[in-house]
Amino acid sequence: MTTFDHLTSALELASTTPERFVGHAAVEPDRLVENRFVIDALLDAPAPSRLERVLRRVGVADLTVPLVTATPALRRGWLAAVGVASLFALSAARNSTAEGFDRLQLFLAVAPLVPLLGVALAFGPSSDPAHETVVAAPVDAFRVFVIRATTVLAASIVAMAAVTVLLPGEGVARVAWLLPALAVTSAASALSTRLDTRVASAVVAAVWLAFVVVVTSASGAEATFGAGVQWTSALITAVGVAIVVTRRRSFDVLAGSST
Amino acid sequence: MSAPTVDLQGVSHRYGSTNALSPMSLHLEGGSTAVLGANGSGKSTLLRLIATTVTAQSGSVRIGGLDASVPTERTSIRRRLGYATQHDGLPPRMTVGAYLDYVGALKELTPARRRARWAQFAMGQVGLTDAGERIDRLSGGNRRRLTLAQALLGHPHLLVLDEPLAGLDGETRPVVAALIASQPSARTVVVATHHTDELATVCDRAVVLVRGTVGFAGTPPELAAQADGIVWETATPPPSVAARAVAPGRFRVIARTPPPASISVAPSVQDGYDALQLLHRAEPSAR
Repeated sequence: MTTFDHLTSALELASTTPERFVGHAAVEPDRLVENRFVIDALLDAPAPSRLERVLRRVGVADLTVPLVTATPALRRGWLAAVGVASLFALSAARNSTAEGFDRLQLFLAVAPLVPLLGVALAFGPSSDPAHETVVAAPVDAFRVFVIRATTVLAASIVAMAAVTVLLPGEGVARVAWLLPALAVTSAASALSTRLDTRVASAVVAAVWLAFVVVVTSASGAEATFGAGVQWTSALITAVGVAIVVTRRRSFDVLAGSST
Repeated sequence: MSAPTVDLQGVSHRYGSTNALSPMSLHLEGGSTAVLGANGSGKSTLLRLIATTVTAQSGSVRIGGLDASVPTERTSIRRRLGYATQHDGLPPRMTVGAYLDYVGALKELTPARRRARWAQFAMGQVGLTDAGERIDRLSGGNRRRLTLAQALLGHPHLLVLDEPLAGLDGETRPVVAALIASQPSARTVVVATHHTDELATVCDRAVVLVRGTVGFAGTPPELAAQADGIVWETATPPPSVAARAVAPGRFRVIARTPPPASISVAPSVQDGYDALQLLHRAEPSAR
């Protein structure tokens, strides 16, 4: 029997038959029962998740850890999207022919949608059942949005960067999805100040895919991910961030409720 | 710290083309207030305005003297707020303990050990025992208990509860009603409910909303008095009037003239509420 087992057994006995301890100068039954409650609380407390332990180990602030681990997007839908995009990459990697190059274009078109999907599932009433509780809390809802969007964006980029090494081709062409990914995520975040995050993300995804189809049809695949699009993506990212920061108070109440 | 006052002046709110609240004013002191009304009468919108999750489209909402439309003051209000939404809004894959830790973090309770203590306290208050149980495995009643527990975290001075008895069984409802009624006097409790007799009777005040306006505001006995002299009990209610079963073979009828084979009875709070609803249904311009 360990010391801890011995202690809990003694407390169990004290709490069920306190009269047996009356008269013992060193033992106060009420205090023993109270102590048992404290020990029960410690025993009942669920073990922190692996993600929580990692976040604490790398020094993430105490109040931020639960906000990250509760991110709804860290779940199946988004992980499935990462998986699908990875399959595109693996498929492209096995075909370095002209067909494979087409598949690379397909990967570049799909990859920006992965972080976009993550952000769509990270915040808002249609994705987070506890959204109204978030809004009613003193923690700045904009901060919660930024923490969650950054979490899924960072995780998406790391995942997609990992599969990028499997892609055919050389140089910057393989990471041509990165700036468009930031641009669509930023644009969706900006739209989220007016619309539900999921609706905003769907609109932006539709616009992005339409853009890819139209530009590829008209000017060829290279134009879709060329320097012009990269610069435009950087500009959209900056404008989107500026809009989000300017309208940060819109996250503070339920969407569609303000004047 | 004293219980915060709730002061609404000329407040209105619309969702698109639907009018949820017409311009209305309401002043609530500390203690408990039951907000009653039919579906669509504006109860949840009123509670959301008080909980500051929506902003009034006209008029002003002040809680404890703080203006809910000013972002910094709104944050101060939220630091003293416990809010349980109508739909429980619980993440299904989290455990009870993780969820309470999460809401504790949203309420700026730090460090984690302090959040854990608050979680234990709140669980004890509502009768939950297993912090490790996943939310999607909780019964409907325990989900409502958890929703109530998260609202109690951090000792809020303003407790806003939307339908806290919904989904609870007949044995649990009085327990939760008693918990709500026994809140400290330094706390203002606003609770929307359909369970008039079980909850409104134990509150200090009752407010009845009728089509987005205040149809009644007063004490539960004053609400019951709305039906003075027009409540009858009978075993055979006439088919032309609405009757409420109060026991096997016993029905309550609200009518100006006594139904055949009926006896006059003292009105309950539910009777007073029913009488108000009938009055407003018969005379829409009464408001």
